[in-house]
Order: sequence, then structure tokens, then C-alpha cells
Amino acid sequence: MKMEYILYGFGILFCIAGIGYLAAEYVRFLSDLGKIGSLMLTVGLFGFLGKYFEEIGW
Amino acid sequence: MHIHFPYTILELKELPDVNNVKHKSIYLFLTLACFVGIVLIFIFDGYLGLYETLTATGTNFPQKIDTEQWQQQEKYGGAPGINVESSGDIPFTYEVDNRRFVSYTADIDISLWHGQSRLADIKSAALALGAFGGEKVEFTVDFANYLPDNLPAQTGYDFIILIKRGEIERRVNVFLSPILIPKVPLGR
Repeated sequence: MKMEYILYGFGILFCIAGIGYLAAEYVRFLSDLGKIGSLMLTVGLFGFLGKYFEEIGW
Repeated sequence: MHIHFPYTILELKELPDVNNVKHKSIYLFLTLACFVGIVLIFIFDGYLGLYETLTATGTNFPQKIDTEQWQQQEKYGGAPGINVESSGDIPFTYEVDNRRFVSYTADIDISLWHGQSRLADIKSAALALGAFGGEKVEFTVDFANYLPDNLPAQTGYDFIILIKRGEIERRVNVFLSPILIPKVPLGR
């Protein structure tokens, strides 16, 4: 059981790293307006995700 | 859970709060909406911009040079180039695509060079593009007309097509290959 959670952790970590890498590659070619828009939506995304976890009792 | 009227306070506490469940889902949907928004910005922002393409159609196969090849020359190993193997008029199409919310105007000046010497003015045009509009400038070049007289047979020659669009200069190296196919078939 513990081993499964460790593997889940690795999987999630690699997913976040991969998405982060791709996003960083794309952001290089974005316009300034696009960068600001993406930044605001990213803040919103993590804010709402945090709020969701808070509401379900994490 | 079956709770019958009248409820006690303890029983009410155990009731699932329907509004609260919806409330939680809204945060999850908003998270997903933000993610979709980011993806849409990436796609739309990549589409927006001023794009240009030069196509040579009279060669053995169509050759195309696009904006990325001019802007990221380190990636493509220097200035973009095309290979011309046939003599006669070679048609070129230079296309500018204005994928922006504002209009765009510029003067286009196309000239032919060999090294530092200007051989000919090929075409001049004025571009006036509306928002999300495009325009094509077509021109032909007969490179054989600009070859030096003392050029040995079976020798290639380098030209440069310089496209000036406003302040921006786009350079295309053109290599005129010697005609490799003999005019008289072998064995006659």
C-alpha cells in the first residue's frame, strides 16, 4: 500500500514537471498580453484548486 | 438515512448539505475553466502575429520559406536558401499575412544581389493590409540574365534576393545550379 502511494507521488511529480517544461517552452513565444493572461489564469487555477481542497476537508 | 419530522438538532447536523456539495463542485469547474483558458491563450496567441512566406514554384519542386526560418536562423543553420536548376523565368510569391486586430501598411522593395553588388531592382509594391488580411506580391526572376559573361560552363552561381518590408530585411540565398543534364542525349 505504501509503495503504491510512493509510485503515485512519482507519477504526479513527473506529470507536473512535464507540464511545467512544456509550458515554459510555450511561454517563451507568447506575447506580453498572452503572458499576463496566462499568469492571471494560473493564479486563478491554483487559487480555485486550493479552495476546492479546503472545501472537501484536506 | 431516514429522518422524519420533527428533526432534532443532532439529526439535522447529519443531513448532507446540498448547497455545500454544489459549492465544492463550482471551485473544481472554475479550476478546469482556468486550465482551458490557459490552453486557449496558448493556441490563439500562437496564431496571432505578422507572418510572411516566400514560395518559389518554377523550380523542380515547390520551395517555401516561412517566417520562422528568417527569425530563427541559428536553428536552421543560417539564412534560408533555395536551389534553382532551370533557366528562364522563375516565379516567386511573397505573401504577408496580418493576423492581428490592427491594420498594417508597409512598402516592399525586392532586389537581386550578388555579394555586395546590387544587380537589379525586381519589384516595388505598397502593402495595405486590414486586420486579419493578407496580400500576395508576385514576381519573376530570370537568373540567367544576371550571370557574368566569363562564367565557365557547368559552374553554379550564388544570388541573393533581398526583400525589404518597411524596416525589416529578409534575405534569401539562391543557388543557381549548373545544368547537369546534357542537352544531347548520350549514345547519339
